[in-house]
Amino acid sequence: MTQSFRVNSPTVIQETIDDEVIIANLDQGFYYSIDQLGVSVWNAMVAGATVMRIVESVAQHFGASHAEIEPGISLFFEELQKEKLIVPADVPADESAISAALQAGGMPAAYKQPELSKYTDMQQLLLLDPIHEVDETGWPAVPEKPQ
Amino acid sequence: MEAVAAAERGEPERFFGVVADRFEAAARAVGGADDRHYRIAGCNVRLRFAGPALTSMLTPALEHLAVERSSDEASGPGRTLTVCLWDSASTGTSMPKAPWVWDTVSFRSEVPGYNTDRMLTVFDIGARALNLLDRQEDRAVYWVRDAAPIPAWETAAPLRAILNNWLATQGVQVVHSAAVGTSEGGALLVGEGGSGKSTTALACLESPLTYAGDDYCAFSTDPEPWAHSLYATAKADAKTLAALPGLAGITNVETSPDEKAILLLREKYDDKIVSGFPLRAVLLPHVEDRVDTEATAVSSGEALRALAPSTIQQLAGAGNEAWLRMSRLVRQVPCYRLHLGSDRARIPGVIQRLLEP
Repeated sequence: MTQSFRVNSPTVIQETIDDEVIIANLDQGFYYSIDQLGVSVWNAMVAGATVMRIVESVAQHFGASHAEIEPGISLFFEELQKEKLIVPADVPADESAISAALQAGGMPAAYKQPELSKYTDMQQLLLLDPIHEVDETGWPAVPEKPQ
Repeated sequence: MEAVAAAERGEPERFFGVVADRFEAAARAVGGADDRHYRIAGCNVRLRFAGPALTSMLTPALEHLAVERSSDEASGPGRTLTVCLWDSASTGTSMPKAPWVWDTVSFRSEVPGYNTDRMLTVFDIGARALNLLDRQEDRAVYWVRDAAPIPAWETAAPLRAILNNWLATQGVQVVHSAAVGTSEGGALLVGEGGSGKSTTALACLESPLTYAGDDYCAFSTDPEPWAHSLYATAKADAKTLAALPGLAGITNVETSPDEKAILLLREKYDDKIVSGFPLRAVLLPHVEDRVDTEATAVSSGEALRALAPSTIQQLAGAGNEAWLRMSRLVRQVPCYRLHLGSDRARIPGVIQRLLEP
């Protein structure tokens, strides 16, 4: 709960655009999107907020208890780690950026547990190339061209 | 760790030097290099061929961008990329063994340890083509063992890895996209394979709209968004060919009946192929069960999701910088979903109306 995280760059690239975070994992070949409360949580995380700090701010904003909010936020962070999008790191907290992400204007109107949407179509394309065999020249063999 | 060590030892630069020397040997073996000059996305590119085997396969897609060499620069200001192209079979010049371990080559064919801020090393597994680029020296090498088995899709969009990475140094981003428009303004058509990019772009050939590509294009954003043509070719499946009878009779360089046709569009539509136009919109085609075509606004985020992943996946070397360029673009111009109807003839009119100032 007191841990902070960083984006797993350079293999993970991300951009907040409009009200959505779009993330790509170049190693795995997946891309993702996060919206609504997830955007606030993500941007606070990028700015160095700990999970504890995020839970407290979200609970306070929606008038909920710590126990009501914590499981959903923790689950979100577990998923981000499982997908190798973030890694634990001691990130210096950028207080103004954290406040901007977690203040009223950065939060959605209603509480909804943050979700990570995963898209696999990019990964399917990556699987098209087979492992190639190298012949005596030291280079992959040239395939026969269809007649 | 070994990959990092290779880069630190200067192996990429050393290997480039070895391969460049082999090109010079190949050129001598065939009586000298044949130089061709192009102006691509406003940048000078010189292709040096050792022998004719690759020339006939790789230049037709670029001919609409060819220029006469009039001075040290091909036709305009700025740096010039020189690409040396050769094959071992026709020149009788062998290639040294690859110095890396093959099972570490990444999904985009990038060779670990041989890709640095300066050097690009890609072995395109599908085309069996080695692509090397020295960004600092504006030099590149393209090598295949034999030109004959080069797949038709490589001839439709040659030198993608080299152009993508060198043009990026010039502020130009190559994208998986089609582009249509007029001299007043045009649009990128983006989306994964099967979304309707080619159908839309090819439908515009019989309209007042001009054509800058159907699969790969480029754009720049400074001083204003601009679409750039790379290839004057088109890929079309049997259904698209049947729906667009105007394409009949154009040479199809794809010999396999199971693959999409690869069409050399200048044969019939030379006056429709342009080098680029101001970029006024990003369109996301989507084939739907309807007759008329309609456009609806989408968010920048949705446009980025349609444009960026397939571009990043398909273009070796594309990473964070490319992602940021694309995200900048979708913020600069309006983005629309194009709900494609079965009446292909009406598609260009919908696009024209979107592009009106």
